[in-house]
Amino acid sequence: MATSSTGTGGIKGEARVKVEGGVAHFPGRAREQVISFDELDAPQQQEIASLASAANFFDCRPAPQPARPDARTYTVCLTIEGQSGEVRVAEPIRDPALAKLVSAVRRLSTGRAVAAAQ
Amino acid sequence: MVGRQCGRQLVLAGSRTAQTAAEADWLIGAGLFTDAVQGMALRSMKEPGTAYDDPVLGRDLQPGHMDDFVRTNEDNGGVHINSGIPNRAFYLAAIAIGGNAWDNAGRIWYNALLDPNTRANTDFAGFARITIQVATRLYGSDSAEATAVTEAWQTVGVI
Repeated sequence: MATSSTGTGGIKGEARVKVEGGVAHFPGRAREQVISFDELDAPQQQEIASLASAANFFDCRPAPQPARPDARTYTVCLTIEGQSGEVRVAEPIRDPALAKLVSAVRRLSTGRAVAAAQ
Repeated sequence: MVGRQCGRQLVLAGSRTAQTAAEADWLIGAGLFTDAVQGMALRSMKEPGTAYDDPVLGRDLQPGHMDDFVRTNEDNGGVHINSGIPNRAFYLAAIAIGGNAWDNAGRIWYNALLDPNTRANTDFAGFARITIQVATRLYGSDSAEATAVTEAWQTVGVI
């Protein structure tokens, strides 16, 4: 996976998120969303980096969970300053730090998906 | 897969009081979308694949016949995609039987769900056979109900 450069001295990285499950399958929302850190402002870059650190993202291995009816599964892939990792986690996300990170990545990716469609 | 979907069918079938099968819109989740979304509902049991077509959400992919069954690793094997097929079977059976969907058709589907032969891994064809058996037990092998259920599953290509 390529890591983007901000070119402004900011944090270099990329976030990818894919959401499956829920009460319905929406093809447009099921596509993997990619956020280059180039597209984020400095506070947003810092937010993702800080949340990834708090969640120990690059070392965490959530235990597999049995499928729950209509629960969503998130696949989050982060590359930050050359370090890459991927986590697949289903609702409910029991680790509060990981839940915050997933929420933040989803918020940023959703905003971009809606803006791109408009 | 079958059990989850049929539970929803029965909820829907009983959700609009005073609407016969012929009067119902057969939409699941009608009114959930805001005006910003180009769509009527999450799903259409009457016409799977027509519920929404939106720039953000994408197009409703639900098939209404086994010829169009979607094989995928996404969506837990396409549980929310291929449910259009049994949804339409229930709609067809309810329309053919007439009256309120939650009376005879709903009773058949509900009893089929409770049947010990319906298990977590029961496929569409297996569940179809059970609904036909239940319809036969409840109403007789030559009944309009048993015929309607059989023809509904045949129409969607499951049996």
